[in-house]
Amino acid sequence: MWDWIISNTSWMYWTWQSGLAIGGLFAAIAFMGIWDAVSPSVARKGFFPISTTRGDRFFIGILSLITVFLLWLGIVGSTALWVPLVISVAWFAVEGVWG
Amino acid sequence: MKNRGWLFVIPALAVLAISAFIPLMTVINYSLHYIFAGSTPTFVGFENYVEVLRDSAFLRALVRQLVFSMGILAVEVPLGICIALCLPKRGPGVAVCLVLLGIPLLIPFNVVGIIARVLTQSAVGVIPEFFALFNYSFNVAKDPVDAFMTIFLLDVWHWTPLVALLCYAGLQAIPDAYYQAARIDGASAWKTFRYVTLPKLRSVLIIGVLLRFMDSFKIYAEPLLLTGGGPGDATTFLSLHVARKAESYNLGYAGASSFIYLFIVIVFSYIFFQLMTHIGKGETK
Repeated sequence: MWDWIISNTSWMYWTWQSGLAIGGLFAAIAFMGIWDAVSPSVARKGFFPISTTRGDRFFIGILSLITVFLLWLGIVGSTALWVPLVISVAWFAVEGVWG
Repeated sequence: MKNRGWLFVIPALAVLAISAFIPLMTVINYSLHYIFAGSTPTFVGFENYVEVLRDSAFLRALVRQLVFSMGILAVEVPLGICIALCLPKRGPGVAVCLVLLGIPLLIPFNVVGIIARVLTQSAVGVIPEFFALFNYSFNVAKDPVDAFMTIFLLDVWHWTPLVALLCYAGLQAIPDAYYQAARIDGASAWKTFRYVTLPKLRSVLIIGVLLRFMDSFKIYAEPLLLTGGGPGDATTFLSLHVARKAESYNLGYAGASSFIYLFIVIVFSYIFFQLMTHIGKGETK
């Protein structure tokens, strides 16, 4: 089964890096879904000018992460990628808790 | 699960997820490779993104696209509301107006481009002849402003009826009681529009703005047929730029620019959606 999947999706040029990224994203979405089913999120007002639910803050976090990486790639280049990663993770935590 | 309705939605969601996921992931995977048709792909990480983000042609196309899309919204939305307000609310005129408004929407993109090309061609076109009356040499093949404005006005002509029809449907759904209350309170025509009509139109305006913004980002056939993206690159919008890179078999670059293109549309659509759902929310409750 696994071999069949591999041979029939080779044209998509999967790499372990993109597999890990998309797998992580799907796992996070699934976790957020289960979390929301167990303990429904209530919209609240943080430092964002709009009231947000957990899902909103997660979505804004993903958009922010991609923005930080694109800005880094455009301005600095593809070196020291741990810097935008640290910035993104820190921002993700800040806006998730106080956003 | 309390709401069984979700069970019936799951098949449609599954089909949508697969049909969206496979092309999107293929593009993302391509963007991480140096990949030219006929050659062996090489994984290069984010190098294609660096190349795209430092490519002045891409950045110019992006700025041009944003100017175009914002301009389109600034013109089409107020114009669509005005047209909707001017349409008759009942009687035989309603059907006539709706059919007339619907005609531009029925014309395919490529036909619109060809119509524009015929109308603006310097030897036989009506528009250059018209401008010649005012001693202005109108030429879409030479003048970047002429070319850009032609495509801009073409889009306004093609898609303002969509906004007008959406607003018209929204206006029809506003109960008369609100207007009666406004009259009793002595509200002026402007205040009635500002505090009754506009807030009640919010939901259709959100749909209209999002549709027009996302559609304007996809503009392709009109500039391609009218000017081929020129003169110079005056009408090379993002879609045209990305397509040219894909046509030149630079699939890694095309994949990276497509992803950035998609990301910009998502970010702006989200900002518009949040702005429009939250601005003045207290007024309509």
